[in-house]
Amino acid sequence: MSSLVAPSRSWRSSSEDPPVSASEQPTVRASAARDEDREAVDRLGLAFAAGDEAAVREAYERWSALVHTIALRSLGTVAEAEEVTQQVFVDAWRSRHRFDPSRARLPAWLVGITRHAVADAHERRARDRRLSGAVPPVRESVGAADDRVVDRVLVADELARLGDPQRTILRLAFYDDLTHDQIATRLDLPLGTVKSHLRRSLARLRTRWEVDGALR
Amino acid sequence: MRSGDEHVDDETLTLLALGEDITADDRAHVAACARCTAELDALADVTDLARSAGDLVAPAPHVWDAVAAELGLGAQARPTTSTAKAGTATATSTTTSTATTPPARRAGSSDSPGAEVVPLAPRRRGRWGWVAAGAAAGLLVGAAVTWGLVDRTPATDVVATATLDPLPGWDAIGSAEVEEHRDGSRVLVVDLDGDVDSQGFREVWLLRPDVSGLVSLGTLEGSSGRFDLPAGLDLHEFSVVDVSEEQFDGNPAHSGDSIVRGPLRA
Repeated sequence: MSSLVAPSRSWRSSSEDPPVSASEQPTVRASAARDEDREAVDRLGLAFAAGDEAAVREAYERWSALVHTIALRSLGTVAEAEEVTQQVFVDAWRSRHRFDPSRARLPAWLVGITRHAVADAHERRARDRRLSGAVPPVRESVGAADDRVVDRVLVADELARLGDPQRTILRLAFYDDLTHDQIATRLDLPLGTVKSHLRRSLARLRTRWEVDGALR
Repeated sequence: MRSGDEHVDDETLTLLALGEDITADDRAHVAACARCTAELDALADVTDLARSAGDLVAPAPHVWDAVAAELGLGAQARPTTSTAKAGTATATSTTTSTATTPPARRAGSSDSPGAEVVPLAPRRRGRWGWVAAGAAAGLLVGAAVTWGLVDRTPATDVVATATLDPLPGWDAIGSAEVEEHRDGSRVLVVDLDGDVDSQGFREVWLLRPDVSGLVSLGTLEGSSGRFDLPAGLDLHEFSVVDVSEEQFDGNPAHSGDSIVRGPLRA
């Protein structure tokens, strides 16, 4: 089943690892938790494509916050974000025959639909404004589904999926600006453990962003 | 650490991307090397994204109702409520305890902008409940809670996890999870990461916390393994996961040379 998912992009780093000494470099590989997660996503994609109604609910539970947050950050109002969220899942389900689980992960496909829905909402907004001559209530600093918005939300999503201590370690590095040394002291963990967690977690965020943000 | 034409290793690039200082040697290599510069750029980009990522915002419950109504979905496709979901949250996305849980948790709660997830009872028939604190008006749901509640794998629950820390002399880390399947069977999933010299072989054990007794679960080939847990085995009693280095000496007892070890926590 895992062969169905975005095959080569995910773990490309393993073939390009620099030849460092064995004692310095832990093996690059997916953790069991991440493998399970990928398999669960694969299974859900297959069920969705096959028309299993439970899969819509499952997909909604997993990714509605992702879709909603992209829409909210791009459009700026809760009402429009909710409308887009509803539209994305309705459209996704109705056009599920166009979803090919052997070519894309379900979240990547949903993000692609979200980009279009957000762009449509921006167009609708501009048209309404032209028709009414009204001044826009929200200052539009954000473009149509700004790529950075999508990227940030994808990274936030993956960050939230990290278990501890990885999440705590990463948060201390990102938001408290602690060095790996300080983190090791603070959490009473070996230095090598902290470094290894930082490397693997950052690689994981990068992979998620590259894989699920790829469909434009 | 690094010699000749070798690239700067990924850990060093990661530290550099996070804004830490590295040796002048490494800096000089990165500046002159296209591959290392490209890697660094990508990692720095992810770091920037993460630093400005913010938390996810879940849609209000009525949005799902509208989706279900528009699609004419049956009752079986309705999402369960938060309270119903709380009991089946998987552990992979919530909290994995370390041997040093108190400082880790303290650190996590002090800086976490989102809601915190706190285990309720230690363990209740292999599952546990979670309580979310600090969610603003139920709308700004901290990402941790969002995923804690919604990330459910249908057939399996992770009922306990362990972070495996290296013992003196070893440079490896690992993790372990106990999966409980619908039929009640349990599997210990062990995952080892690091440089482990393999002159002999590795064996996975469950120990009593005071090391007064132990159960062998089998040999670990490679860095990951799944071990069926005997039905009667009490994980409260044998609650510590241990991976040892064993020699082909014909002696089935624990060699006393443990590579990593860590307590299972619900």
